[in-house]
Amino acid sequence: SSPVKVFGHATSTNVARVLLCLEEVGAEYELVPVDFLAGEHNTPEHVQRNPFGKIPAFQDGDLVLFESRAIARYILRKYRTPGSPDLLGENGGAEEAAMVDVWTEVEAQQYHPAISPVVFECIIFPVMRGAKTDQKVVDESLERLRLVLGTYEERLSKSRYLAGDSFSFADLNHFPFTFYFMATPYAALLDEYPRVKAWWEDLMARPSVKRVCANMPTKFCF
Amino acid sequence: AMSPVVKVYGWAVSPFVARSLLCLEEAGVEYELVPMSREAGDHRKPDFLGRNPFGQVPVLEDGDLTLFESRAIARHVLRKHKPELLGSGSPESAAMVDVWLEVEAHQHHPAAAAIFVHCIVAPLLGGAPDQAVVNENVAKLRKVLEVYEARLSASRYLAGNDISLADLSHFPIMRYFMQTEYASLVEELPHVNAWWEGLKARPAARKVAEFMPPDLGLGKKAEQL
Repeated sequence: SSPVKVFGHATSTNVARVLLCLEEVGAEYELVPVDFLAGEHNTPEHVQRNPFGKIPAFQDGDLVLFESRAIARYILRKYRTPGSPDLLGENGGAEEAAMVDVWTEVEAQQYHPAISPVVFECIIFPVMRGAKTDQKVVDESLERLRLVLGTYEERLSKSRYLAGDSFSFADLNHFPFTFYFMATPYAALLDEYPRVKAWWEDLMARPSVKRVCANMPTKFCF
Repeated sequence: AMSPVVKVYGWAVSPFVARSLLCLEEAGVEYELVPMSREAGDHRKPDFLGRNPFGQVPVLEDGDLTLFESRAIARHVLRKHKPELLGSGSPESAAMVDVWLEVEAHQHHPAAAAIFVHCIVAPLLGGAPDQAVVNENVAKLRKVLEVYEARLSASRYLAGNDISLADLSHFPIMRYFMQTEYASLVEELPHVNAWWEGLKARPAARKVAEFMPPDLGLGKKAEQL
């Protein structure tokens, strides 16, 4: 069977989420570039794949998907091999999958709203629009992030990974925006939360993460 | 031995609590709603923070399992009791449900909830809507619903031929949104409107809506202000 296709570019946080899952399960894939800055995401061809005109889009034979977390779940189910980790926890008891879902939602609903504005203000908006950093937004977000990280520090004192003893989809989902956060001037914030820092370093040491990182910049000039 | 009853902690007017109750009702699972007071700050008290360190409702207790985040609770209830509503038949059908669940969470909810907060909640608490924010979100929601109209013209339900959590997950916030002056955004789209009418007619939805009065139970309070 032919490799699956991911439409987007490797530097995009949501594309990285999908690529990470593909690397985790060892599935073959083809990254098809979508030139965001040239407006390619708004072309009829792309909108057919993602009606909201966003990246990534994904194709596996006749199946076309969008929304990176949905694509990720599909990949982890469809391409999981007997030897590879059960990142969704769906082959364990009901409890394992439920805890993965809880902390996956926590990333989306608690962590992401706190950390992403810092990444947008410090990197994405300056790079893509030449915009100046709104320091007020950054400061408010960092305050929020401190509270979230405090809760994570407490959680990781009781649990090796977020959802339990095993690395899971929940941990993995933190990679894209945290990676870029660590390229902002505020990376040292993680040092104030030693268990979170250790958890992050553990994640960064995974072979799949290293392969995805290789295509993501850490230095930005603007 | 009697199996422990599932417990949901929270106030049922919350669209997030309502999402959990809707799934329990759809799955026919017996549950106990443990009332909490938002006014009294029950969600910030130590024993609740012990259940959800983020201090938000709902929390669901199912035997030894304590869960939070309403979308995770929804997945758990249905995985356990009605997995077909998650498209469990194949990775492909599950993927379609997941796609439209993410659309609900990231495209639909932020816009619909902003309109709800400004147009319903703010006035009930004696405040005024920020019309600029409302207008921005009405424009966003209009675009989102155009995509829904196209989708529902080609597909009976969002994820395919069968109703799923992807459809159901929209019910709580829409129940409130449809009370605002912007309900026309839905009413003017024939397929979206028919889909909404079908959702709200479901017995489980009607049951849950009983706990979701349009004034969030704050009406009497607003009169006294």
